Amino acid sequence: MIPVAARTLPMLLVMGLVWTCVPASLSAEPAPVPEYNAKAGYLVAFQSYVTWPAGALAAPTSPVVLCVLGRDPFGAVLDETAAARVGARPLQVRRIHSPNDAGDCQIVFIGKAESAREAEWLAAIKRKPILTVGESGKTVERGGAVEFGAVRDRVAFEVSLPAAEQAGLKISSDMLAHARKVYR
Amino acid sequence: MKSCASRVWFVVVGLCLGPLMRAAAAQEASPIVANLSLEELSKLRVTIASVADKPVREQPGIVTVITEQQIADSGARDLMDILALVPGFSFGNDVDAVLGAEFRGLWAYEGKILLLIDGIPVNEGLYGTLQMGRHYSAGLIKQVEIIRGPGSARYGGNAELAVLSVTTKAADQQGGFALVRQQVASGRVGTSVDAGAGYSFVNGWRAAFGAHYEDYIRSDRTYVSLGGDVVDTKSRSTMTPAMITGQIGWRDLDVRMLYDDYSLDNPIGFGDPSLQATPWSETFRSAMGSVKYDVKPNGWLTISPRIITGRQYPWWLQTSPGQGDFQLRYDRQTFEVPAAMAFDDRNHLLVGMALYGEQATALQTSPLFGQPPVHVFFAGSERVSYRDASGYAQYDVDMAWADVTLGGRYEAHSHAGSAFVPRIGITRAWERVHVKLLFDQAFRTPNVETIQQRLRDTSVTYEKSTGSQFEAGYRFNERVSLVGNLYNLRVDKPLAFTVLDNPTFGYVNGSAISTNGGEAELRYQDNSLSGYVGYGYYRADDQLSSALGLYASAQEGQNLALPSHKVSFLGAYRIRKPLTWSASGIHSSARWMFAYPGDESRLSPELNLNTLLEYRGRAVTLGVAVHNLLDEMLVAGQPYNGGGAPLPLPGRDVSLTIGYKF
Repeated sequence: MIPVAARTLPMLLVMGLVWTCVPASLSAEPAPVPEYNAKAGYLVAFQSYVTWPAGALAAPTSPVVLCVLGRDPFGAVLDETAAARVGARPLQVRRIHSPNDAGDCQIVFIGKAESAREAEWLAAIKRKPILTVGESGKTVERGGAVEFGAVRDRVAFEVSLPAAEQAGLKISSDMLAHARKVYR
Repeated sequence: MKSCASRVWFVVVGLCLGPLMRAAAAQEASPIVANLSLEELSKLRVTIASVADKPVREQPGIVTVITEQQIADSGARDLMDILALVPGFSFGNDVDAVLGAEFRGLWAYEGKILLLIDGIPVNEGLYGTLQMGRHYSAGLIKQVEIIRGPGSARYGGNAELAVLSVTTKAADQQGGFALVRQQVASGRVGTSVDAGAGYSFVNGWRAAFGAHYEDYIRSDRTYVSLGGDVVDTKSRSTMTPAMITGQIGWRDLDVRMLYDDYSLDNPIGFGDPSLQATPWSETFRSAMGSVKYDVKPNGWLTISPRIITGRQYPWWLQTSPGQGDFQLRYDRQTFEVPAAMAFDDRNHLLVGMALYGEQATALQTSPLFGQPPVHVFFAGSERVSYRDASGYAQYDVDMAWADVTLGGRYEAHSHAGSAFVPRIGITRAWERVHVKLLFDQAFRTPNVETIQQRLRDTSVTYEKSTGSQFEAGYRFNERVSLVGNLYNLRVDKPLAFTVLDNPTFGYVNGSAISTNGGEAELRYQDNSLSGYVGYGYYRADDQLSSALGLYASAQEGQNLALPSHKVSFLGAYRIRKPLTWSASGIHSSARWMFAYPGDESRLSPELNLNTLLEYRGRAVTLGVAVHNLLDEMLVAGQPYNGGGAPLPLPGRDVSLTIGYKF
């Protein structure tokens, strides 16, 4: 009878050596991006999948105004992402501190640090032609149109059709197809 | 010897860590992602700080996730087809022509694997078994999460070697679907239907249902018993499994239901078909439900009291005329209160308790097989009951050098006494590299019949497993990843049915059984091509696996009917946008079967190849699949010396699938 360790040794060594031979130079993968870089990417991408009602934007070339309401989790990332976006419309990023200042915004993001005031703020702007986006875990329940979540190491989003309709927005079927969940 | 083995582990871990650490040191600046489509954004890996929703590579467990896309590409028809591609799993036959899973070289079918469907535990309660083969339709399944080991301190009972967590499509609340499959093998036509729908409403309500029904055969091949009796199973192995799932929820209230009727014709009795004139009818029927409410008194605490109740009729046997039927009823009520505390993004604590009561009632017994009448079936009574209480805690903390998990579970059973098992996990993930070192113990609580059918004048207690696992993974780039693990697994006091002599037989806690081995998975994914190769190896410890003389083969390092090596692959090529061609295969090395005392027969290596051509439109799916393309003689051997001959699996099988989603 061959001792267990002696029998196991070749297998373990082979597996270990194979592992050792994995060349680090094969790595060409981009690093995982910080969560808010990805969310900034989504926010600037949403404008291509949403149709605002007539009059919400002055002209076809008018900028889409993306507002961060309350505490800002992005820092400069959102500005840099918006500036780098190539699209039909320019994007303008603003920081606002009250829903009363959201009149010129087409997209309003409320970070999870403002979860306590999210319901009140969403109620204040719910009939305006604004795509409301949150990440509190209760954004849709509170009347928001889009909610960010995480599926393991990916950012995902959910869409509330009633909230979008109430705001007079049309969400493209392509965006709905990529939503993790669509509320009706 | 022990220190030598430890040195080997140390060497291998060192060998692995060297290059991994070097690779991990390479940092890249995180990019601005300004011009990506939603599809590209959805595939972007991100760093998420919270330990509550960690990616698989950072979870404190050896986890494989099979996605809906992989299930579709594989052409899998049921959970058995899905698991067959996963390293570590193979399948054997038990009595009554049913199939079960083997895991890491051990016969895990009876009480050693926990299956959760949408969170409801579905193992039958009399023995803890899980029946495979045309059971748990792939058409209903959105995702399967396979946790090697006990998974979490939260799970007890049958969560000993692995936990399988299935999420159904309907429960994901993403709309509706219907799927019809016509299949044919050797001229026998079968039909399978899956349908379901699930919706979430903005007012907080959500609802979902799913349903499956199938009418087909276990096999179209010939069964030859060890005594030489021959049965053509094509006309005698009809299977008509059915399942319904349902869910209603409102905000933090969640109500789930599950009905499962797994009915089959048993053409071979207990392995000797000469006993029966016509096939016996075997049914496993369950109706289960759960009610859960999440209480969130503040931002960091979630308490989720849940009641689970179920009634089952497992192993319901209706034999040939005159031979008598057998039916027991099993009821179980569970109340559990887990509390999850997220102190901050890096410190999480799970504590909880669970209480359950279980009752078994004899409804019909078979005097022909020597069973006592109903009113005295359970040691002088028609009914027997047991109670169990457990408490558990698990602390997850992200530290600067690694993520650490510490946990434990205590359980007290009214017959089996009490037991405690600890759990320790250390996980470290860099950008491309991760390593995990896990040590955990788990126990299997004796089931009702395990206790009732114990060997005369003995008592049975928990069997306890001890697992040491090491995993390392490497992402070459966004498309290619490799992950591998080494394990050592030991089950002390395994609960096993043993026959000392006639009539001295029953369940006892045997001496330890043990295996060690490794598993590896290589994955590739880009927009038009995806590929997967898996490999699993085990080696039984001969000195231990001869426990009770049940499982060990005379061949060194092997257990009966379990292949030492298994290689599986899956490749899918998107020919054009809606058209996909895929191929999958499983190669199992030779196995050894008990034939007669002192005699074993060899089962040749097997290659099971499958292929699928599918049109995947936005709403409509059309597919043609061929399973067992080479028409190999595939069999499920009996992984113990029970006298059962290999059960033949289907030959070449062609199927046409039409699906619609809305």
